[in-house]
Amino acid sequence: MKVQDTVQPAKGAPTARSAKPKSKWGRLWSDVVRDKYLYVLALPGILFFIIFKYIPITNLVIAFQEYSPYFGVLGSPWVGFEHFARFFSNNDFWMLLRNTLAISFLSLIFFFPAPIILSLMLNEVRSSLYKRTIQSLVYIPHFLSWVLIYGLTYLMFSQSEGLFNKWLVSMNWETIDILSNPNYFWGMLTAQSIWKEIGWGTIIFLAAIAGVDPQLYEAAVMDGAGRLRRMWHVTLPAMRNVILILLILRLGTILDTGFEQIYLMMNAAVTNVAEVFDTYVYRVGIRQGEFSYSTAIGLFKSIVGVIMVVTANKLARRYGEDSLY
Amino acid sequence: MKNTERKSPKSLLKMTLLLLLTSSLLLSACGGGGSGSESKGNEGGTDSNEPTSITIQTLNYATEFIDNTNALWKELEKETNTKLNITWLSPSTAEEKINVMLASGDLPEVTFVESMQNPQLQKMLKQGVFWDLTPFLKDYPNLNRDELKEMWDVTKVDGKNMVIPRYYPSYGGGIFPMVRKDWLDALNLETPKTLDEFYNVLKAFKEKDPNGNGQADEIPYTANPGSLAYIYNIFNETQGSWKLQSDNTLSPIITSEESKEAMLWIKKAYEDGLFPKDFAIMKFSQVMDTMRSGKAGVGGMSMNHAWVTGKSVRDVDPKADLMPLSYLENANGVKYTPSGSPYYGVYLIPKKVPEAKVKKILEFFDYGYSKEGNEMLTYGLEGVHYTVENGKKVSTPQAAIDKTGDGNLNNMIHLVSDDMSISAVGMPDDVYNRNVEIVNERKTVKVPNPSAELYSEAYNKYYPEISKKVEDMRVMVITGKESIESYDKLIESIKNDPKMKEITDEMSKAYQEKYVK
Amino acid sequence: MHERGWKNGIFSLINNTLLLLIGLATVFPIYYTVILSFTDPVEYYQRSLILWPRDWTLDAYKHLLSNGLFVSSISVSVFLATVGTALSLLVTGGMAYAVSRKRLRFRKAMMIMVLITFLFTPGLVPLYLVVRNLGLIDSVWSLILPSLTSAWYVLLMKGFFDSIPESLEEAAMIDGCNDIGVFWRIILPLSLPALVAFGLFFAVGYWNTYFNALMFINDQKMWPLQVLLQNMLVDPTTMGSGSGGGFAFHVNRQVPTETLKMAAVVIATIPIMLVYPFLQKHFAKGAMVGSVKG
Repeated sequence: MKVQDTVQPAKGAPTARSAKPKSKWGRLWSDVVRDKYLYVLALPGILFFIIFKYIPITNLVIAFQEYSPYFGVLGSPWVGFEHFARFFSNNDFWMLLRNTLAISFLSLIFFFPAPIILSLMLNEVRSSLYKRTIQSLVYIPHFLSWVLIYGLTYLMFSQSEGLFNKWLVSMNWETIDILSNPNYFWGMLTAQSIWKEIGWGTIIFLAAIAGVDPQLYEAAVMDGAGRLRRMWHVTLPAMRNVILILLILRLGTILDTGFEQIYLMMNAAVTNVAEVFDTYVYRVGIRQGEFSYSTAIGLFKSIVGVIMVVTANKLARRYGEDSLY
Repeated sequence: MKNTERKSPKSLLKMTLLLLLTSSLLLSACGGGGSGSESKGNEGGTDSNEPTSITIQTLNYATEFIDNTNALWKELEKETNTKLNITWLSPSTAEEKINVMLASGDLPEVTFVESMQNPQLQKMLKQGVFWDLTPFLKDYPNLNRDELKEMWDVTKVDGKNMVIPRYYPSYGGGIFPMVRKDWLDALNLETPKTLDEFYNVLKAFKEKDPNGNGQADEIPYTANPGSLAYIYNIFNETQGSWKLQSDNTLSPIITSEESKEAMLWIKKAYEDGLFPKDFAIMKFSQVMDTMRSGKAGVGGMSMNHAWVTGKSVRDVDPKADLMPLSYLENANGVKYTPSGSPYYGVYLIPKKVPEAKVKKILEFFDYGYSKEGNEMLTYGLEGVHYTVENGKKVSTPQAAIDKTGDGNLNNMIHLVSDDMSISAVGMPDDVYNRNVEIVNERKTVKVPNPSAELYSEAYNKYYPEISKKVEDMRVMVITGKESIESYDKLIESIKNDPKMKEITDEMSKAYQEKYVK
Repeated sequence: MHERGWKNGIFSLINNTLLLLIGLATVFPIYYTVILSFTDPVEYYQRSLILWPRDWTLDAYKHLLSNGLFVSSISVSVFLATVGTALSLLVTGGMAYAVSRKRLRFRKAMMIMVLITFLFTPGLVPLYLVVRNLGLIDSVWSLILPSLTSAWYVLLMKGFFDSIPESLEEAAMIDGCNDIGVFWRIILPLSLPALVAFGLFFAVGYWNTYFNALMFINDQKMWPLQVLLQNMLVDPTTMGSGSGGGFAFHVNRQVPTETLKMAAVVIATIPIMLVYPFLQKHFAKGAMVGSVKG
């Protein structure tokens, strides 16, 4: 508070320097000159995006070609929307869309808020030793590969060897067929993701919470706010910015489902609920070397992502929140 | 104070900037990738005394790759008067990397591709990206060895030799039952010769306690759906996914009546508890793990596993003895054993390589396929890396130092011998001799493989999806999650699918073009 | 506050118990992984579930650590995780800070330019060509430059800088700092918790470098640790798609046992995992405000 008071008069100081009335271009130029060091700061990043993102991105035009390495991007024949038509007219398109969306929405509803809740819970722990111990434990699964997690899941839930089923048998109950039952598949994927990433996800939120001014808590206590209310009125707002950005970005990748996890967990019995765009692209596009076709599918996903992000951003702005851009 | 503090970030920033700037300059200097941007290297063969430099890219199965300081590498360069520049590919990455190389047109002078069926490769072969080697080949006696004749024949594209195949024996590879001989003996059972006998053996493994521990803990056959593909081939009396008809057309076995019978055979076995309970969801590595645990009586493997896996089983159960079956007969009395084309992977030379150098490269392979060069690549030098005792080669400590036969150079050009598929490091004589007998017996069984080396665009585009549907349905029927009626319905719909007709027509045409003249 | 004591107590009890359960859910798999890495492979096959090995063995670790490339791969990985992380923080922070200043011209254009790269992902082949044309193949920079930053990091870090009041920066400007000075002397120290979090993300990302290394590095001496370990775990019995299907060739290479795989997991994750507890103190409440006042 104190700091801000002293600073207040300085506001507008930079603009004061270029107060002279000027043409539009002249103002633009003087603004750019004024902020030259900011551009210098941004330059490495901009170069990075141009070289390693934009130059490769131009290659996406092969979605409209029958790409052949021999002719290259410049020489391959154009086929218009043929690959898109093939994709949309595929008998399985609706199944793929349904599964992708189902898995994605489950993740949005259960997986996305999980680390937020965990961060809030951790923030309420008084004993710093206990807090650190729990924190260090829950973030470890992030480092385990999906192959390993597949192995562990098999160890826990398979019918012949699974610990869970062995326990059921010892209680004289029927074993449950979890890994090859279509009804459990989506739930299991969501649970696996939460288990793997919940702790890791807290890092970013705890960093946001770390920025909260302790005075705000003190003030809230004075006002007689209980812990739940303090959580709601002080801690959560501090994380709002981060949550919103992450949420909008997540919506942009609504058609991405995490290829490796699903590919490993998939088996013949659950194909109908497990096949998603990503596994389809892998099988059809990459293994069979159909670059143009798989690029077209990727482009479709991107365009859906653009629509989602733009809409979400508009909504955020309408409700007076900070938006992404 | 302020200045010193500020200097370091600035210089770091500067460095980053410089790096990025120079990078972007470099980029614009080089420009659009595509074909032919590779430097020509030194133009080979102009001066016959100068060693020719050859860049090769190939697989390497060793954990540590050798480089040009290795004694055998040097020996190879000396013998062939070359300067080798080899890029090794680790097998875990090879497929992806080869695809990226092909797609980017960034090809070394000698490019290795694992499968002729690679769709990228097929397109490029048609576009004439690679040298036609047919006119040169006759000049290289070792490339024309009798043992290699078949591999050159089957890899022809439109009647031309565009690839240098890497030899691999026809027999001995492929998934086929490997049986615990000690369990057979314990129950006084004969080695099964027919599918029915095989079934009875599995049943006995389940019921009669072959490991003698008094518990019914045996898994008769560790398998997953993928490792039972050969059962369908036994019923259909053909290799691969296609069967030759009397009018020289091919028909897909996926929709045949025989395949349904095969599926029902597997279903019955599953219901009798001959496979693991988790049959439907096991990965191949889990199938192998069950074998290694010593709890299983049969597993599907290639012949060298009599020792590769057999050794692991013996660690758990010292009496264990893994024995490959020679063949299995179906109800019609027709024998089946797995066999393939006598090569695995091919080398190609892009057209940008000058003709003189192409000849030099062929000379290099000629040496590699000569008896002397072939053995040198696998065993090293006599007296240095091995000594001959009683007609057998015994490696010396130097072999390990120079990394002889560990997947480095011996993998570039394979040893022309059945040992490639039936032998393994450390295999005891009795296991090896028995494998020799079995492979010779297998060689008497000739099962047609009409679709080998055929390529069809429609097949590549549509077949994988269709076959996945059928395979999934089969698993559902076998495990009782779907009825046989829904299987019949699916097969019926596939038979009527115009895509399937397109695939079949293209495959038949490809067959006739290649083999019916 | 006193009248709320019992409520407080119940809240803490429930909260701590739930956290304990979440913590426990992660313990068993981790315990199992570590235990298996010390188990004899034969014992692993004989017993279906091992909670405590009969004989402890270091064989798996000995085998992995005896690889001649182990030291070089560790140094590559450490280099990536340190130098790469530092560069990533600078590049990401610089750009995020610039676009977080509302007065900056072309700010929105830059944001959209960044966002587009988040939504449109180019294939591997064009990236390979760029890296090759830059002459970075077989250079350690091929593992750093293409992954210096990403839209995700820039947008998120901007979110953090957004919450720093502009007034602070203006005060510094009056003291004669230019924007770079403000960034270095005011903004970075203020954002310490965020920097630590992002640094951890970058470091873990670099430490786990795998796929880019497969594509861009041919020379084994330049392999990072993850690639080396993966290569040692290749199962010769499940390789090969051709006629042989399940080759082992003449390869004098042992089948990777489950215990070896677990040991590899432990080796690959322990070093980077140990970093975290040292960073935790920076997540302490009020770190930012404290630094402003101090």
